[in-house]
Amino acid sequence: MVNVIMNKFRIRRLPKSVACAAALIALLATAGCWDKTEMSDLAIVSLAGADFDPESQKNIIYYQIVNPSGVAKRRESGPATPFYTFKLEGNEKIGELFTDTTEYIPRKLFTAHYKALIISERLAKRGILESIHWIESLTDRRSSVPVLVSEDPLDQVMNAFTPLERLPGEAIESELFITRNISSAFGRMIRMNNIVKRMDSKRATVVPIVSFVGDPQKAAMMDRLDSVRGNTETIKFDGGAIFVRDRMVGRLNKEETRWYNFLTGQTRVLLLTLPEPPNPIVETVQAKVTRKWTWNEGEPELNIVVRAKLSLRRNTSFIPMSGQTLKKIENQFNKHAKTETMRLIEKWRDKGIDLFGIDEELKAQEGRKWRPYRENDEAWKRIRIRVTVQSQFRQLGNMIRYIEGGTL
Amino acid sequence: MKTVRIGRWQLFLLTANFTIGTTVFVLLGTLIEAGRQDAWLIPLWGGAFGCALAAFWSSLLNRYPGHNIVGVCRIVLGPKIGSAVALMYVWYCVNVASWVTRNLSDFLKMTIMPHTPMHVIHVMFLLVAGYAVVKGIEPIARLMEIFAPIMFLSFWFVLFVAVSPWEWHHFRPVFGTDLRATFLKTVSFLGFPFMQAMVVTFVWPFAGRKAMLPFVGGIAAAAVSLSAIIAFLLGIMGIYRSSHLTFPLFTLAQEVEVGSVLQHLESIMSMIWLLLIFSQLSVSLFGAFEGLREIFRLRTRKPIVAALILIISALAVTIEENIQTNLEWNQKYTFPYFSFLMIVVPLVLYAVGWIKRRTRGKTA
Repeated sequence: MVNVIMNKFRIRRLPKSVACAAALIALLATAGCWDKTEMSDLAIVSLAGADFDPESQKNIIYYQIVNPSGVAKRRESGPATPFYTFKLEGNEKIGELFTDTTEYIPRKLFTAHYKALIISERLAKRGILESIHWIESLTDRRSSVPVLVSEDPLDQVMNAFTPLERLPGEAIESELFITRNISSAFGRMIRMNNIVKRMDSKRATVVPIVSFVGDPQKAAMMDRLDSVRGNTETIKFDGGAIFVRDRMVGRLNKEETRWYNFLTGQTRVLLLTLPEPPNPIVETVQAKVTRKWTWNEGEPELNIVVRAKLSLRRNTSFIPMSGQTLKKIENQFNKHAKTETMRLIEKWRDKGIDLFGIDEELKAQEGRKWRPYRENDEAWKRIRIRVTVQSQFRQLGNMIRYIEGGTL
Repeated sequence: MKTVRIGRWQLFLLTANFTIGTTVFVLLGTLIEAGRQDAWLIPLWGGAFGCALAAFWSSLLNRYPGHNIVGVCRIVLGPKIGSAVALMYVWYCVNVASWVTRNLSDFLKMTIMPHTPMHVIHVMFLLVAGYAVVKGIEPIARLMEIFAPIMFLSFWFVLFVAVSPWEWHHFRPVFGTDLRATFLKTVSFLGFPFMQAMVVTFVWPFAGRKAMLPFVGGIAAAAVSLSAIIAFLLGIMGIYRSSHLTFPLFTLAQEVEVGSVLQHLESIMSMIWLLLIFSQLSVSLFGAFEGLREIFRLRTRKPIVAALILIISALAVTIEENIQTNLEWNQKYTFPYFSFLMIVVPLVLYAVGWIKRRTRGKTA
């Protein structure tokens, strides 16, 4: 049969020596075998953490490894926990400490898809250069991973379960990216590569802060997942940590973080209750923040223009609806937004923190007259800032007339 | 016997791919560090120089139709001196092939295959390139013709998908750097990749009479492409980060994230680079082989290519210690080394040829 085929296609039989040599050469084509990876050989890292203990001068790292049988449909037997948290500490540097995993698990760490890196506040304030190098130096880790700062001991945060998502890494990722259209609590520039990109600039990067809520003793127990209480013994987001270069230099509260994310264009959604009666809850459904540098009375001036389309769909206060009232609310919003913007800029500028990248933009200005400002590192602190807010209602929600309560 | 011919479009693609080749991965960080916000200008002036030089080489080769630079050496300087000078070009092709092979293994070991021995990567890739050379320049040119559009589209697709963190202030102030100092710092860039493009002239005898335009056009296209790639890196990653990474383009593709659907596009980048390296390696191997064939009047192909593969695979291991020493060597020696072969010798050939013609004309 073989001979028939060979004759039909005029294939010559190879001499044995040539066939052996060809087979050996073909073996070389399996070069990938040196780097072959079996799924069952991998320990898939879902979340990583880094900490530093100033007393013992030890680096501490955490990583959560996915337990496939725990993530899959629950079985009658076998471990049901969806992940295991490993804690390693020592005087070694972070890069060396991570290789100590081999002392605990018989698998290769797979870090290509971990969802977030949580850094303790004390390490963040000390500087995260080592963590940056750890992520940037090997190509199997991505620097596009979100960075979070934990204000509670990392031990609690890394050992906490999360409701709905069985893996905290997945829960954090969903929280950060799915809720972006609903709330302005998280911006887009919260990744490690955003911090690295600004390493030669004064411009700050704001990343989310996480904390632990509940009883730390109960946190690591699987039973917690059977409790109906959703927001206890879990992790919670609260405000933002300000990084300038590789160090955390301050923190924004929840309100400031929302304004920061809105004003830097990282989110278009901003929900706020206006301070003046009838105290409506106004939401921006579309917004554009532009900055323009002008030259005014011999001095440079930064013009921040906020253009927003407003909505009342989340409003729960009574409003006597009329075109005039809506115009009044628009004006209230404009005034409030202007005050908040100026307050936020001036507060952090006074502290010497360039939250909005004013220095970076000033240094990018072209022309000879800008030269003294470009060359002066302190010039951004003296720049005059003008804020203009323009808003207009576009969506009013499902209530064209609000219901008047109280006694008749 | 069938006459081997490659088309003008094929020559254009071969030249462009050869020039972009390893540059696109090895040199971008260094260029951005040197030129900062104006780094995108460096390939443009490098390309202008490369085009001028390519026009000069073309006019030299067009004086001796049907010959490559080795043939020209032998015609102008005589069989003995000419062959000795021509051997330098053969050596240069071997040298380029070794660099390219080493760049490839450096990249693969750093990114995708850290445990695979370097020698295996060298030999495997050289075997493929060697096989292509044995089959002649036509299959190599056809391969480029088939793959170039796919490479072009997928490469720019990855860059456009990654564009969301773009910031214009990374380019400003435009011309804000000391351009003279930047030029002096990046003189080596004129050598690698633009002077190196001379290796492509080994295909000249197969490219017909009107080869100058696609050749110069290929260099110009490569320069514009490199400039655009640098602009993308600057806009997306910024000066600081892109100049601190060994393979910024790979990292850029790795960090692409369009929702949870489109992620980790670095494999596309790696495949494109493997194809670019294939074009560079096969053309330089072809150059070395053609040079030897012409000098020694060889009739067989396979043993010569096999010997070249052995030499190049060994040389690739010793040609540099690591990518850092390679970059430093490139910075210091590329321009003088390449200038001798690409400017001085062709000028001498031009002058001697001109004198010879005049003398012959007078005698006649």
